[in-house]
Amino acid sequence: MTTDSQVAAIAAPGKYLSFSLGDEEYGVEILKVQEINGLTVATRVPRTPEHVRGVVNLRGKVIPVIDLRRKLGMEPVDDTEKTCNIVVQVRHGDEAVTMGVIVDDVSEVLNFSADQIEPPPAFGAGVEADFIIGMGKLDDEVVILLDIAKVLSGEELDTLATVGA
Amino acid sequence: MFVIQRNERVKDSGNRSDSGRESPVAVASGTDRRLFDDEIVGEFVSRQTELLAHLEARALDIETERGGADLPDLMRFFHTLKGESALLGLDDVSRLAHATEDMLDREPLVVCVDRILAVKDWLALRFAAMSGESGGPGSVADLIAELERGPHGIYGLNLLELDVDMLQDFIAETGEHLDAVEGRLLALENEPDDEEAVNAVFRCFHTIKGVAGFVEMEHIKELAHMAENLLDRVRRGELPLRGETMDLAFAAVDLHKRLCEDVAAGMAGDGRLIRRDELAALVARLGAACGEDPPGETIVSADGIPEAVETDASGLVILPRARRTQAPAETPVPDVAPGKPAPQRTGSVHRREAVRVDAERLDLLVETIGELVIAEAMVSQNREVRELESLELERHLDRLDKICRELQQIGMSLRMVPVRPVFQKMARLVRDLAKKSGRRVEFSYRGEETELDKSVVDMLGDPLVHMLRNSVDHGIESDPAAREAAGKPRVGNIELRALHRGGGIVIEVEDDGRGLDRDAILARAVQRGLVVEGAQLSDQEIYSLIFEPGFTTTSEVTDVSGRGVGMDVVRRNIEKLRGTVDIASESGRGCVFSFKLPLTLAIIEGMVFLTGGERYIVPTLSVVRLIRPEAEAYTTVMSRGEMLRFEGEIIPLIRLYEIFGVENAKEALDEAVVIVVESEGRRVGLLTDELVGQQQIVIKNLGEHVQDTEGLAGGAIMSDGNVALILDIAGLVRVAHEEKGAVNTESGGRS
Repeated sequence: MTTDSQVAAIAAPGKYLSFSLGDEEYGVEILKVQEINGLTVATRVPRTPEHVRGVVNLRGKVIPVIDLRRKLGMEPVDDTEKTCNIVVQVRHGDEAVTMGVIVDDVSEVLNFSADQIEPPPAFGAGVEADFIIGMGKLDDEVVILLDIAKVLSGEELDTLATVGA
Repeated sequence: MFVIQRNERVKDSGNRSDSGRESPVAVASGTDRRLFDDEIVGEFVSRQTELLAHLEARALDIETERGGADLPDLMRFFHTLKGESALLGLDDVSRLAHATEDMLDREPLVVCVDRILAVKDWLALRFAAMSGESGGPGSVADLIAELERGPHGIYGLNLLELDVDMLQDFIAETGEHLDAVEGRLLALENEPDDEEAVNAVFRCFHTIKGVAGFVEMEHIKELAHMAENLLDRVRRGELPLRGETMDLAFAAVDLHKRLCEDVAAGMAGDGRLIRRDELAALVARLGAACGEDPPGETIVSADGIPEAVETDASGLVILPRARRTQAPAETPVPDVAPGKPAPQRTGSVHRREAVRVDAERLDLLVETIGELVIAEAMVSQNREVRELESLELERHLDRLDKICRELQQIGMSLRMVPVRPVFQKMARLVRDLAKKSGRRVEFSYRGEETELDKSVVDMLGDPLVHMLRNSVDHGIESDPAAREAAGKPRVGNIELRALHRGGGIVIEVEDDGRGLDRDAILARAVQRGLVVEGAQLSDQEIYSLIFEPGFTTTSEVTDVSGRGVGMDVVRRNIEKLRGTVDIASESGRGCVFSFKLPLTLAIIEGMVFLTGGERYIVPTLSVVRLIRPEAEAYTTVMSRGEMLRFEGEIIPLIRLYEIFGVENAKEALDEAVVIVVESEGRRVGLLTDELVGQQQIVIKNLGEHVQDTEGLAGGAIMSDGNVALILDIAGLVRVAHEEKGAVNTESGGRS
């Protein structure tokens, strides 16, 4: 549901899986996370956008794997031992879609109460940020909470669905 | 007693029509006084008032609880009422009670509520009249007629309140029975003396009747009942199964199907059935044919009929459930016609047990087995495991490998069903088409037990319809004399057959009509600009022109065919099934259309090849040849479009690594391997590094965001656990054309 609404897209309090991309901490709703895997060899799929790293075999199912750094327009880095594939399940229309999301490192599960979540700050023009649904405040850090479904369904990949919504 | 009652009825009705009605009590009790005194009648009437209130409450309960538990209670009430009122000489009440009792016995309670309430109202008025409180009820005959009118209350029923699962099973089973009936009837047209077939048809209707009653589909039950009666008369030799009777039987099958569709539609919608007025008409016709009164009278006994357990159309036999045992004749009785051996029909007596399984669960099982096979391969081919060089381990691994393979085989076979139901449908279609177009056609089929993946069988119907239409309308000569002159039997012959060939299935449609007119097709193609005038084409190439969209050589469009749409649909459908079409024709003698189909859609035979270190798979069915082209076979057009000469054709060369952006691929023609592939009648050459091998491939969806990538049909998990991509040749050709510009587009087809 959160994917559709433009205005009320504020992160709900609850558990979030936090991970890092460079120095920044991000969080996704734990309910959307199916599992966390190490990196496996992805088969490159030609004629797909750069952020699609390819497809992998997830116990007999073929799922696409998205490079989150590239997807968010960040500088790509080489894979390390800590690089992880977070398998998420999101709703796409009527279907449940399983996808892999590659992140630098998975941190921990955090619990945010309502007063620890702030609405996303207004970014200047040019920062595409409607998939940021809030900022989680902890004592010493800030976690950027993502609507992962929106991240994955964004832009050209999903023009049809967006138009239909 | 009888006389007295008659007297009373006359008097009673006479009194009722008496508009004066000065003293209803006196009239009512007066008529009864001769047998019983006022006290007894009064006591009876006053007791009824109370009971009627109770009856009303019970009747309303039915709607809320839908339970059958109240039935004995209601039955008892009406039964008592019948007896008492008869005793008291209240003949009309007695008759009504009797009719109500019958209704309750015959029909499910839920559909009776309205009528029970009507009966109650009538009784209330009747008793009130007796005690002088009101003017008396309307005609009891009308009410009784309404009770007997039977099951049309079905239209007031909400299907969703019934057992939907059971209804769904019922529809599926009935559909299979009907297909079987249709097949038998068609066979009976040619072989009217096949008693076993008549019995089989009878049994099907009988089963439908029983189950329909059980799932409260009274209208279907009624129809099945009448059809059963018709067949019963045929079975007894009282009616010949031809002409009107045969048409009636077919009409019954059709209406059954429509009624089932209505039920399905109702369940998908708001739970209401749409009214089918033709039901009553057909039931009446069936009744007339049986020389019989309206339904509900004759109960056909199925005793003495060998109730062989019907193998249903899918080759499965449904595990008998409780309701099945309700059918009166479940005990197998050997032969109907002693002295005359019943013709043996395949599959009609053989009993196999089966369980209906959700297709999704089946797929999951097959998928999981696939995973197991991959996991097994990963273990047994693991380098470290191999290095152990343990004989014992090897033996265990071999055993594991064998079991896995067997499991995979079994898994695959689970989805296989015979093509029989589709073939049976076609038999009906040909019969109708032939009648419509005034031709005499004998249709036969063979190999209907051949099994294919269910999804393939489901998709086979459409192309076959078009093929057979084509055969009937364009193939078989309309004038029997012309056939005779050509030395052929007057009756046209069309055969549909399925056979195994080379790891796949071939479905053939053969007719002995006039064959394809090579010259007419060519002329038409030239006229439409599909072929350059004077071009030298092989027969096969000319014949395949009929698959071009909108292609037709007929000048007039009949209501059967001629618009040129059909054959285009055929090719599209067959290609969707990853199959190919072949045509063989002999002018004046007929032609054979062959579809080559894979056994299943989930698994394909694939060729694995490399290009620049990336692994791709091309479906073996689309591969024409692997070549290492000579330098002189290579040409360019406008120094852009690369072309290869192949078997006298000029085909476009597609450098896969360019389209797919693969690095480090072999570019030189003499180092590379060209795979010549064919799709939608076009051939192209794919430049690749090397061929790895050929293997069975389980096709997997690529998943959201990548599955619609043009040029790719899906992915497959290879034995190393990684994914390889399967090419979609048609898409690839499109991509190649877009990227190369228009140069190749025009010359891409046959020259």
